[in-house]
Amino acid sequence: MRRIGTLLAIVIASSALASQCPSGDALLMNNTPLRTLCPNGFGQFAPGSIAQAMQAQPQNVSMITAAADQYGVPLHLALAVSFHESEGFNSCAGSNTGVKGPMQLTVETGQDFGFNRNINEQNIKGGMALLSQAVRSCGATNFACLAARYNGSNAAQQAGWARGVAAADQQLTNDPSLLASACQGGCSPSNQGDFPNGPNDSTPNATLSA
Amino acid sequence: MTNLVLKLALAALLTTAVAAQAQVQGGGSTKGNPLSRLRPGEYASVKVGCAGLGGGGSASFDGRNLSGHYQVCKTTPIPGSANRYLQRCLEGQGANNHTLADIDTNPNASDDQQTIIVNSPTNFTIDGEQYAFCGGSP
Repeated sequence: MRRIGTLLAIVIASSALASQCPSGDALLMNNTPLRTLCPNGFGQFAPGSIAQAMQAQPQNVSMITAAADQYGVPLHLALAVSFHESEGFNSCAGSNTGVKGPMQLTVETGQDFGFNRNINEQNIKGGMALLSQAVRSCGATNFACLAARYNGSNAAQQAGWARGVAAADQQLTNDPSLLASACQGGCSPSNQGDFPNGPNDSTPNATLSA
Repeated sequence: MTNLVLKLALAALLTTAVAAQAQVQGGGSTKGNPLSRLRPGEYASVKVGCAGLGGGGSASFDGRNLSGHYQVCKTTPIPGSANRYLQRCLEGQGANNHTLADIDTNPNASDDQQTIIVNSPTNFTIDGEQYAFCGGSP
């Protein structure tokens, strides 16, 4: 009986770190420097549609899916924020001298949650931790409040963030097939497709070798 | 006569000082900072468009300083280097947002040099990325 109790405790403890997206959970355990993923540096990207961006960045989308589940953030909101922040879930979005990565996290905010924003997986987890905190204060649909908590820039920037995230959130909410396709970035060394500004296609994805 | 000479000298000094101040602040002098041509407000990368405002492709110009996404920067022309600027910046997000006044006292401020080319009053290029005016004012 005691052994069953111990086993149950282990299962419960393990499930706290597990999500409905096991491949995303596995990918999140890597520690890949953004500079490894983006040897050509950081810049701006045309995001295209949400569906196109999800197809182009399957591993980041899987990790965002897993992290959203782990941190209790609605998936449609997590994807909407990353899509808007990083021009389509893009690790290489940002500037060489400033914020970068899929969740566009600052160094200080990352450190507040115990994460290094210059590591791709930690950038996602730190962004999700901040978003989770914002959702607890604002709810998941008060985009002006979420903008103040996540973005916090001047009024015009916050208004732009709220508009963009709300629009992406609505698209994701209205198209269940998009959400259903969010966990397709498998943890396989041969999985290519992410990081358009990253290593050339003949190089195995650095995320998986870290 | 001595009084007149003194007044003339004082006027010349004042004129020089005002011109120098205008140059430092980008006050519209033709000899001044090229950034002074740029309209203050919010900008977005042309790759993203204004729908991306508030995201990674955003920038703000307060009339003197150009700040990237989740940054507040002091922008200073580098003498003798056309279109080269020293950017002293602090990152800030959410509750950790900062103001210009924090830059000189916060040890996390970083210095970088960037090339900024003002293409028109509503369009500029920074390190090869082109940005266009979206409206608003910081």
